[in-house]
Amino acid sequence: MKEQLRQLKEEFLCLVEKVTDPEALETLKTEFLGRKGKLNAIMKEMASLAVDERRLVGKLANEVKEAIEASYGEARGKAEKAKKAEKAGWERIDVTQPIIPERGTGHLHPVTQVQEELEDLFTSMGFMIADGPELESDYFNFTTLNIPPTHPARDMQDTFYIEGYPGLVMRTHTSPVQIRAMRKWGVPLRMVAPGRCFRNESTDPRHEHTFHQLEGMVIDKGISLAHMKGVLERVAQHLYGKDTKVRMRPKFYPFVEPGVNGEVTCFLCKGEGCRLCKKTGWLEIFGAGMVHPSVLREGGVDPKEYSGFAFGFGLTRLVMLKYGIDDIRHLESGDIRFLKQF
Amino acid sequence: MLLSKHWLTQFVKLPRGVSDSDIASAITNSTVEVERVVDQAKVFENIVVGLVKSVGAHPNADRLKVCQVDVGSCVAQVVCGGANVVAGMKAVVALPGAKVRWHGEGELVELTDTVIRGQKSSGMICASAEIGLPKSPTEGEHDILDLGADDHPAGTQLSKALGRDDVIFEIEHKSLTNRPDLLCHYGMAREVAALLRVPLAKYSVPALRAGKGISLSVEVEDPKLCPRYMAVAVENVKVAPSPEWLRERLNACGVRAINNVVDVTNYVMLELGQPMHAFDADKIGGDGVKIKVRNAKRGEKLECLDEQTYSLDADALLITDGKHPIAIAGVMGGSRTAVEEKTTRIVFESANFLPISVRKTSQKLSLRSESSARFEKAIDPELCPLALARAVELLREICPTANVASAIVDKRARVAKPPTIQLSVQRVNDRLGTNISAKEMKDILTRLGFIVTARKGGFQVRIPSWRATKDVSIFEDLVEEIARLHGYDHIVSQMPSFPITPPRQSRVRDLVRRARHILAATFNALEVYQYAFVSPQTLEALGEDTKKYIRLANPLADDRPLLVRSLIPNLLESVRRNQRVVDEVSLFECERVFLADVSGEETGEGKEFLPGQPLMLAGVFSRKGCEEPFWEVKAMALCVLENIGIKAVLRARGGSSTWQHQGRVAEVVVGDVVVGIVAEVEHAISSAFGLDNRVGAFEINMDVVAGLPVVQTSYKPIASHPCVERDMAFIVDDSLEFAHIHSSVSGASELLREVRLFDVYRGNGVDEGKKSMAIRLVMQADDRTLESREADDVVAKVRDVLEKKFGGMMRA
Repeated sequence: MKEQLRQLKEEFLCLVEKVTDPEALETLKTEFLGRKGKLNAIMKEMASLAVDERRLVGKLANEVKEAIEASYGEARGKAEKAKKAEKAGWERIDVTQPIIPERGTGHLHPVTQVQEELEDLFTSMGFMIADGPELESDYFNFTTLNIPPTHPARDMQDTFYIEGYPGLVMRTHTSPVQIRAMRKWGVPLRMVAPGRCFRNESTDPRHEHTFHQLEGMVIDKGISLAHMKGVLERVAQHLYGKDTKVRMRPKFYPFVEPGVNGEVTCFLCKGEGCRLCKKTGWLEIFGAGMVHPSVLREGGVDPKEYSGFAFGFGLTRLVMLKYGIDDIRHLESGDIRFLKQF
Repeated sequence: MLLSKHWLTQFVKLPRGVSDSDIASAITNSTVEVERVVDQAKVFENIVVGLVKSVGAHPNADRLKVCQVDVGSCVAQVVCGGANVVAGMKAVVALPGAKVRWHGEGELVELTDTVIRGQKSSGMICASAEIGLPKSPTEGEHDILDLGADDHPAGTQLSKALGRDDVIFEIEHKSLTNRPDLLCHYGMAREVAALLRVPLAKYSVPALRAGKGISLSVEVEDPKLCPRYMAVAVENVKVAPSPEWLRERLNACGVRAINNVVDVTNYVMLELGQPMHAFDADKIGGDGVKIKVRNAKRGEKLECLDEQTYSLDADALLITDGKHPIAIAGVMGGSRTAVEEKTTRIVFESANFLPISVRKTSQKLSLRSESSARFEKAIDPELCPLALARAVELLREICPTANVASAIVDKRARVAKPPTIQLSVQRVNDRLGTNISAKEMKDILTRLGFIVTARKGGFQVRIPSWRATKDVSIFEDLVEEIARLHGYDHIVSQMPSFPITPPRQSRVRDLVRRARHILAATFNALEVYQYAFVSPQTLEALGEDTKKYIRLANPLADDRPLLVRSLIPNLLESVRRNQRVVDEVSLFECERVFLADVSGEETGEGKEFLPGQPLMLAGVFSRKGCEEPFWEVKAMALCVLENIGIKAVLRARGGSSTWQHQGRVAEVVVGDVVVGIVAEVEHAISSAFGLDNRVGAFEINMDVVAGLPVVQTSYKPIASHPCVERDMAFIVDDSLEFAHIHSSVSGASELLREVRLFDVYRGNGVDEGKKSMAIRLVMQADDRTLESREADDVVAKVRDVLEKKFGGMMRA
């Protein structure tokens, strides 16, 4: 009997090797271990054995059973895995294949993207986002900003005027929002005002009559030029990395005193000098200054008590620099081939 | 503005080792941007004056000659093809390393030692064109440039021999609006001296002595318009071309030389910043010149030096000879009284005019000159005598026969006391966030010419006349002087501290931002930025009345003179442009429109208001083969609103614009408030406009939306009992609106939770003028599972409503 049991085990181990289908395996197992299976058939004869012998055979039978079950389990596991793999094989998808029909994606205008990035930075520093009309009064666009009607500084900005409304202009900068914000919200004030501006100049790859700026203003007691430098450095570092430096040079704007133009380390060459920065290592991206006392007065703020700074980033310029856009006219072209790139 | 280094260094001695780019960056860092530095000599590098010692035949070429040329450092052998080369000639020799243009054509080529047909050649004897000079009058086609009687020794750098060894600084003059004192060489020399801490030469010019022969008088009608008028007559003038050095200097600064008298006036202007004029004395009175400065009579005419005749307004200021105008004050002289070749007696004018008056006149006449550009920026009246004396001195230098022939006339309004400013050291440092010492402040201001007197805690600062006209008048102006000379780079940045308060929110901005993201993310739409301007052709093609539109007074090109009243016309243009490239166009824009008939924000003057400028959100959609783009734009509009918490519906109405398809146009309504429109473009207009496919458009007024109350979402428990669904189909009149059916049906039973339209059909099997609709009824009770019988009841009620109220016919 012992021999029979051993043979039974060998037979199973031999057969199980050849079966790969999980269901066939199940059948095979039943054939050996089932109620009417081969093992039971052998065991039926066990009654005829002596007690000692019976114990020995019983133990062996158990061992054989366990071996068969273990071998079955292993084979079954393998078989199932193989079957899954086979299925995965014929259900395989070429993951590199494009989606058919192609599904487009929407895109925000690059100016919107850069504007939102800056808005988020400024709101995180406690600045409010202000807004103002684009068709503006001459008074807010010029006069209140220390540019009276006869001032030669008016020549610095070519202006679109409106037929039948001698007092109106298409705003030439976002600076009128300074006055509106001071009058509306009072001081202390921290605000930025992104927006569209207009200059009456012919368009070419570098000039557009329509462009975007981001104006900013901070007014409180004791605000200094060093504060202005600090805030603008933060902005520059946010835009171009923590090693970015800010350089300021004197520049005349009638609504600030002192007035500066601001340059930042060229992000492309890190200040080494390259084509982008015209070999200077610096990129001019903003104008700024301490708010002129007469501008504060126009905003209803007492210049004896308060001081402040204002700045204006060329949003359009930032966008062109960021993406390496070489023709400003694309921005307002509405050309899908352009817009889809951002 | 162009500045000559030679000229500057006449007044300021540059320290050793200071390069041209050092000067440029000092000016840029502390004063005004230097846009370019042009070294005139650069193009003539390694090009020298050579003396041809001998000329021999070339053994292997008939047309070539082998020359021995003294080039200073040695005698070099040069092979030359010039037809006119002879021994003893002074010629231009380009040495190895020089860059020349062969035969005046093609790119610049760098010369090297070479062998030409077996003969060594160390350089090249050049023709004018080969070194970028104009051909000299005697130079034939195959000739080289003969320097003739040039007295420079062999080996002299050509740039020096030609007087082309200056360095020109190009200044960004637009930024000098506030610094008229810098619009000249002496002024800039003064600034450079302050920046580089070097002394400035005093501007000295011998005092004028009165002469005899011409009686000269000046009358100024309104001293406010002409605070100072100086004049002097000079006789025995021989009008001729100016000497080379003067012409070259004017030329270097971009001013065309004319004749010695005119050149002197221009030279003095470039040197001192004082515009001057010279009249032919014999054309304005001869022995008795009576100048009168007065306002023009309306319509009075004057032909100016530019040969244009100007008709003047009463507020234009004129220089007259007592009867006739002879110049527009500060702008341009008249042509009749101009100095010409046979002129022998002249009157120099050196005057000061009210900036606003000059500016107004120059603007009104669209006549700008070097003179008006300076006067309108307010220049120092103390310049008048200096300039006048300098002009006479210079004229006598280049035309020694000339002599003063009249009294020196000086008509001057009352002289104002030089203004002073009190300066507190602490306040300056507070404003800059610095710790600059009183000593440094004093040093800076003194270097710049301010007169500084110590006072408690600071200074009293007297402003020099050249800075007092407009530029420096308040504390802040002095802060800038100190900051820029101290150096902005030396100011250490700080962050301001503020109380922690969240910034004020702008609802409309917030909504717009979310709307943009929804349209891009949910509808795969592209955001466009478009002009605020629109063309009348576009509007007319869309059937719009252009009279309602605000019009630019000075449009760039005539194609877009109108301000948009809606974003849609320009969006349709974009569709037209893009449809050639892609099959589907889905665009949106968020911008302002301009409405003359709506009041906007205050103008700030009186109780006036700007035209209304609501912020609009608009979108367009079109796809090849899509016959009802209406649905896409409807979805865009409603989805955006729903996402920002606004429940809107569409209400059919007759389109108010011609371009709108009368059967496919609706108002977007929230409660009773109309917030926008959704429409398709009408067929005929669409094809006339050039649109290939049907286009849907929507536009929402975001300012109005921002003012609406937001529906607060409140949680409803999720039903624990299953719902029952039943579908019904029925035929009704095509004109019936679903919204109407929906609201009636929904009220049929309280068990009815949802009435969902899932099919609409017209055509085969449905009569003309009718439509078949299929709806799904979703029924549910909160406390139990509905029995079939209950659902049947609801269906019966709905059927009843459909049949009785809408004449609906059930379909099997």
